[in-house]
Amino acid sequence: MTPRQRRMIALIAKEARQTARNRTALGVALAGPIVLLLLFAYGVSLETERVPLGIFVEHSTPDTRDLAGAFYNAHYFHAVIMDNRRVALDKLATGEVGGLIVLDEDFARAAVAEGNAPVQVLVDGTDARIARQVSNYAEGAVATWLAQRTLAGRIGSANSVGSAPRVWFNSEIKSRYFLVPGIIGLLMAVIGPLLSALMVAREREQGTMDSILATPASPREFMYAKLIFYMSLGVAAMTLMLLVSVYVIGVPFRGTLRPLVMATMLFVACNLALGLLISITSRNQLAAVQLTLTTGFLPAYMLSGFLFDLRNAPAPIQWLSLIVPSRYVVSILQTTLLVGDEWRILLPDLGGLALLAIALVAGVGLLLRRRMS
Amino acid sequence: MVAQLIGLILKELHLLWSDSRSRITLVVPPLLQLFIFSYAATYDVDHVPIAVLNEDAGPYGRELVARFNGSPTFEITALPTSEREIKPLIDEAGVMMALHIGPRFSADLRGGRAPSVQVILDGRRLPTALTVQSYVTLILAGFNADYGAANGLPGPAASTVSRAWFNPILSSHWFIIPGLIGKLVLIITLTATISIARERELASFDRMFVLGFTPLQILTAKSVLPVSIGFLHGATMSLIAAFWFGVPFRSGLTALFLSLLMFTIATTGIGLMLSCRAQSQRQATLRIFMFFVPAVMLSGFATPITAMPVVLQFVSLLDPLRYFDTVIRALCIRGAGWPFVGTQLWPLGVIALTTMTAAWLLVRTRR
Amino acid sequence: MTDAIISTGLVKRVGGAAVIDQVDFTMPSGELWSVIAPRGGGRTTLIRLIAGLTRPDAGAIRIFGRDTVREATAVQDIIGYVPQGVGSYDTLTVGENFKLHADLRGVTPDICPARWRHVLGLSGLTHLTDHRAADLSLFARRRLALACALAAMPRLLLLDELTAGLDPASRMEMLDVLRRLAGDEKISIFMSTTYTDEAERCDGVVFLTDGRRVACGAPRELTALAARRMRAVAVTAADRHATAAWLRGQDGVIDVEVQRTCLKVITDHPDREVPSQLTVALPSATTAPRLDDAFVCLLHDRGVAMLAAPVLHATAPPRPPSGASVLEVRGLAARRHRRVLVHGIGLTIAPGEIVGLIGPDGPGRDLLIRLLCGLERPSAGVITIGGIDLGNDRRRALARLAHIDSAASPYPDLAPVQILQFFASAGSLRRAERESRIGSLLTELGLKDVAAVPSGSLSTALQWRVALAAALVNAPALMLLAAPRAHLDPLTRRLVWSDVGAVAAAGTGVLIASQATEDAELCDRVLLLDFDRIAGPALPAKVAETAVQKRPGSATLAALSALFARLRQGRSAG
Repeated sequence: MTPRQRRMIALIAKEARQTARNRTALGVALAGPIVLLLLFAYGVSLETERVPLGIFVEHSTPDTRDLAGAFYNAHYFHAVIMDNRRVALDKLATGEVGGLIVLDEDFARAAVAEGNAPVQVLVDGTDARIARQVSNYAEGAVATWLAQRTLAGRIGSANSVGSAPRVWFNSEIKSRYFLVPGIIGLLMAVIGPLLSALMVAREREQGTMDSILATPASPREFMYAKLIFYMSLGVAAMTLMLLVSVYVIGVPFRGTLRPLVMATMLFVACNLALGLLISITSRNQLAAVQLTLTTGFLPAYMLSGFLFDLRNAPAPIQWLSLIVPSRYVVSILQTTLLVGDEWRILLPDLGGLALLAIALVAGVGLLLRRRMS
Repeated sequence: MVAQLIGLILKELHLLWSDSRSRITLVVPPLLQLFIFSYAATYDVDHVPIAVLNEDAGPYGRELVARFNGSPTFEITALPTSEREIKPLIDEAGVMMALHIGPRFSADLRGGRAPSVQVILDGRRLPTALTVQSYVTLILAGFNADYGAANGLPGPAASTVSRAWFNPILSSHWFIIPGLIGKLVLIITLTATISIARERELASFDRMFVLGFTPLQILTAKSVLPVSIGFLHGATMSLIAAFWFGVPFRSGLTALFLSLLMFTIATTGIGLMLSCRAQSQRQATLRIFMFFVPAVMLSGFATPITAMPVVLQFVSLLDPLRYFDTVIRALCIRGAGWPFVGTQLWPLGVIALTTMTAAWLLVRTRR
Repeated sequence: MTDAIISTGLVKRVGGAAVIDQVDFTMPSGELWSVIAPRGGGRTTLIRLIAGLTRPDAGAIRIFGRDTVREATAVQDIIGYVPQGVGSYDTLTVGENFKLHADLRGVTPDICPARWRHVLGLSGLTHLTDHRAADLSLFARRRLALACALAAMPRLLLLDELTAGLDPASRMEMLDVLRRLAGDEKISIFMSTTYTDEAERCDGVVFLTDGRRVACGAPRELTALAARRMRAVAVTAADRHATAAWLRGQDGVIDVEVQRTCLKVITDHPDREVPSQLTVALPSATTAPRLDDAFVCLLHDRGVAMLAAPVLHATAPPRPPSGASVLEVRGLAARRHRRVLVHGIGLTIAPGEIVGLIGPDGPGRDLLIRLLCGLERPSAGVITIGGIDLGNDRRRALARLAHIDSAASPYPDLAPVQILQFFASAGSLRRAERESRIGSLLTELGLKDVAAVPSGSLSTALQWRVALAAALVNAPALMLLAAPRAHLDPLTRRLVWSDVGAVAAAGTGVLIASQATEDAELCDRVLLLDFDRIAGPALPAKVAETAVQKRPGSATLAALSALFARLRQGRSAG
């Protein structure tokens, strides 16, 4: 064993001992992510379910009752029948209902007589995405109702083109499958920097960093020992999260371990190096905290493609997202979990992540050398 | 009493203002982030790359393709010649959607057999997939109506007319930017309150007690800055949202500013409660982080609260961001009136009162 | 034999300003040296430069002939370094901390168990190896840091304020350890300190101010510089502060140090006569110059003038009814964590009186001060400040009290005028009155020119004045001064003393809590502190007071030190 190896082992062992005795750090690194992952995987969904829906029926006929029943049965609505137009519109205006189906006199008359009975679908446009879904579902519910009636032979048939949509990789359209990779990326993007940033700040305050640096151990050995240890902790955390995702939450795992392991290590390295950079540059802990929250959480939340499809964003924003590590890892996780080892997607992502990791780790080394002189 | 309070507040102001770096970190990043994220965050889609496989020899297949081609939402970037070629296109994320028109499409349509086209969507990007699907439905509906009219067919027994209230063009900016404001104000206010833990580390908490300031005065002085910083940021951001991004502010500014004030007070209360008993700034940070992440996720920004499990719906009742998000959207987009504002403000008031009281008790006992 | 440290033309700049400016010195091998400097004077930077933790901008340091920059690795193999602060990991045990350093230096305990035992024995930690560092006392933690630095038996040991915050007895014990290391183990030691009594026990001293070398040499030689410039003036306890203030205003007087029965006067050159008929020949123990005095002379000769003593007009407190005391404590008792730490305390301070509360740092002293500040409630007893009962009317009682918790600026980021306005806002003065009082305080304390500058950037002396001005702005009846000696250079320490005298002369009662027995000299009366609780005036304080009265001059120190030693023994036996 060379002296350098012996020093690295001693430093890594020191980190391990300290962490093993520090319940807060262990909680933040291992227990926190799992709890938050489960919370969000089950708590957060993109499906519009149980949207409160008002059905205004001006004149009750068998047809209106039949159609209203169709809305009752659809699971994405929580339907309420109302017979007062003013009250109904008022409920839509205050957001008490997300949409309003209006079946007025014209419907009751036309449905029996001439067909083409008007069904008015009013949706609350506050959240455009939900509004669009509500109106789609409502139209779908009406179409299904029509089809059933056609089958029952009560109304003449109409020629029309339907569509048979198939959503690949996620045929049940479970947003959980889509969200889990994003949540993992998001949680690691905050926990990584937070852990490493705060740990270094502490060493500085207590003067322990200086006492180590005066030994033959170099600043880089000191930092890289930290990096290696926290990397293994981070990889452990991410492995735990992936295991929970696949075996508890039931996200499919269609790829192999190889790209996943590579992505995990690179991603954890990026986040820890980011934390080290923050803690080396910021003068006090307050600044470190602010920087961690602003460079860790929010960009991962907004710019990783987790919630918002960046391909719809302006080009400068897309370029900017190239320096957000979560962006790559979310894509890699989505691919390996949902699609399989599709190297034509994985390679560019892994390459980008590797470049970022190298740049950040080298940045730590460079900054340390600058600080020394 | 008032003079003492002013003295305390001035001290906090001087302390904050004397540090040029915290001056910059408090002002610049939040505004920068508002711009970046506002442009990044959109559910609106256009020029979505799609693949079209048209096996139909008749005129209707061509017409349907022409409708997709003419729509600004879609851009046909690949024309696979067999079903087998579709898979790699989607796997590699080259296209978002593939449209497959079968060989009997025109014949079936003419024969009154209600043909169906196959639509294959990339489920990796679920939100986009769902939006794209709704556009497909729209195009098909248009096709059906025109086909029916051109061929003198009787319309269906019922037809739907959809209208989106408040937001007829369904711009997602209107929804997202107010949501962003809440999140950014939350983060600013929380980091500003961490200063109370900083003070503790510098042992000057005791100094203030020895000078005869009461816990209530100290707490008030500690709250004034985070509240005003959060409020000023929120107000500035609202103006940027209105004048730069064109978000309508239909209810006027009074109700908005009142809600903003209530929200920052509630948030400051939470920040003070979490940090005033923390042993160090590190501990305060971890606590605030453990509050912040769930607060953002449960606010109803990314996912509607009604879609959450019932337990989490109850938990989200404790989340001040939930009320602020609701009220700012109602005020901006829906032009809600005072009665509605009231329903969202009283829970915020309860949160503010509870957390401030808790913080006061905590400060008092540590004296 | 090669010299341990040779520093030539050493320069280190931080942000354009030179923190170390052309420092030359040569420390022979096997000696114990110290660097002494005011805060911000460049002590820590110098030690870090020698340790190779930061690079010089010009000049060079050679350690046993090796350059710290070009042969950094070789240098790191032969040095041991103890940084400021605790320097060891809280969550690791003593053994683990030591093993970490041994591993890093390639001397694992399994390779050389003998050395392992030897080093732990040297620092007296053998029985503590399984304790976590966080559970140790400050003294033991410092010894642990020392042991870690000794792990590989370095040839040169660098110590940055190893003794800061320790009580005098522990400091001297630590110095005994260092002397033994230098003598028996042939380890060269270079340490930084603010205490001149430690520097006096070294083989060599480097004295820095503003990064420049003011003097360098053996303590005895340096002390001799002041030998013929010292005069003694006999005084009575009643008039000594007034006489001192008058003397400070005279030509040729650089400094006046107040002692129990005489004033030690330092003149600007050896032949100067002190303008007083009272100059007396006192036993040489009293007027023999100390290293402290030499520094005052050196600084004066360099043109570094001491701040003028203040004449406090604006701050005289409203006189209490004649005969009333500014502080009256009766039957005070309090406990912490169910342990009685303060018991049966009675204490009275008259206006203008300076009372010392002398004893080592400890929970008892800490608790007593917190009780007096109204931060905690006593379990029994009454505290009256300026005639107002603290328990009954906390607010008004606290308005009569000023507490200086450190001699540095209370808010380094704020300007003096902002600090004064904040402290004044706590009082009950009207706006106009407040402004005029702040104005005159700034003038009287020499802060007028720096009133708008961030106080953290001021010199140590001016920072002390900021703390003092903040304390005086509400015209307190009682001023509580905690640990005024810690981290102060000799010059500022003297300034603090003369300022406290002026404050007392203006009618404010002063209570000084200190661990330094020298501070007893300044006080009119002394209370002695036990380790865990206040030994009420019944026994030890009375003993101390009689000791003080019977044996004037430096004999007081000996008496107090002996008492401390007894108390320490009693505690370790119990």
